[in-house]
Amino acid sequence: MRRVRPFRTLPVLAGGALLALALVPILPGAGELAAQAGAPAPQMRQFWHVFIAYAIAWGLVFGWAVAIFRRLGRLEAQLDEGAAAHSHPDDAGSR
Amino acid sequence: MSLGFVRWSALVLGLAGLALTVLFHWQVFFWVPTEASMGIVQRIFYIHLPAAWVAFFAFGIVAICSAVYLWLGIPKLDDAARSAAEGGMIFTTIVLTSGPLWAKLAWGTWWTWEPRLTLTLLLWFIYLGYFMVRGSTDSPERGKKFAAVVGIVGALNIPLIHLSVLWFRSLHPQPVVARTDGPQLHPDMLTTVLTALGAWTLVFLSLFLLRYATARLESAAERRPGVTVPAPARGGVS
Repeated sequence: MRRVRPFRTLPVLAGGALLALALVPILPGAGELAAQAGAPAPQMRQFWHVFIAYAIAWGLVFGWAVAIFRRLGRLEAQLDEGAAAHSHPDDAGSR
Repeated sequence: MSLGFVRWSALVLGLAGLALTVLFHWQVFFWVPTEASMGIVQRIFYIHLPAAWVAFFAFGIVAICSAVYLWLGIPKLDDAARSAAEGGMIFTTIVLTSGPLWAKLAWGTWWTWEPRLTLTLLLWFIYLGYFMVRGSTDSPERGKKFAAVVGIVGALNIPLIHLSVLWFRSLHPQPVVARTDGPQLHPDMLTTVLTALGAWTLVFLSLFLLRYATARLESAAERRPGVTVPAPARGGVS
């Protein structure tokens, strides 16, 4: 049976995303935000709103990306199986 | 344009978008000065505004591809329009969620039925209708044509959204970047928002191209004997 080749763009992009996000805290200026962590309650609420907004935004984008990659992977598998069945009808047990 | 080229382009654009994303997140959280009157919550602006522009760009693609599809009947254009519409919905949702998170602290309320917010919500519902109309008929071709009409009409809302703050009494802040007299923004803030716009645009283009490649494969699979195309989760959206 022909082996289905996995779609490799998702691991590359996912790895790139993780590496990118991991780099942010070590870039110059990272200590400044940490110093503001001891801010009073109203400022902490502002931080929460900002972080939630960014989390929702990236959650939506990554969710769309995951949905696309999953659909593309299923489609490629279906096409490979269809091509194999079409070229070897006996193997597919179509009798 | 071969599908292999489309996918490689998507990968290159996606990696470039990720690089700009790292940069603009560093700018937002560690570099750009805090706005004097609104404080830290103003940093939501750096995803809110670029998401709105990318959403308008996406729906513009929908309108153009839909118009040419209705004129020439080329299936690839419908695939492109559908792919762009998905991206437009994603980014409009980002606008509609990030805005209230800012508004609650700036205006004291999550939502108000003022012109720009109402028209943006209307835009979201119009393009939700785009997907619903696609699956509403027995004939897929008729569904695509109905959807194309919705896609064109929906894009007419976009200039109304932009001009609503100028034409009507509006709580929403006036434009600070897209102004006839030039941007009215601190240079560092302008740099940050333009970097964010570049990042979002590249990310959208990358995912749009991948979604388009998926749609093209679906079309090819439908024409191939013995292949069953996996059904979408709902209404044609991946």
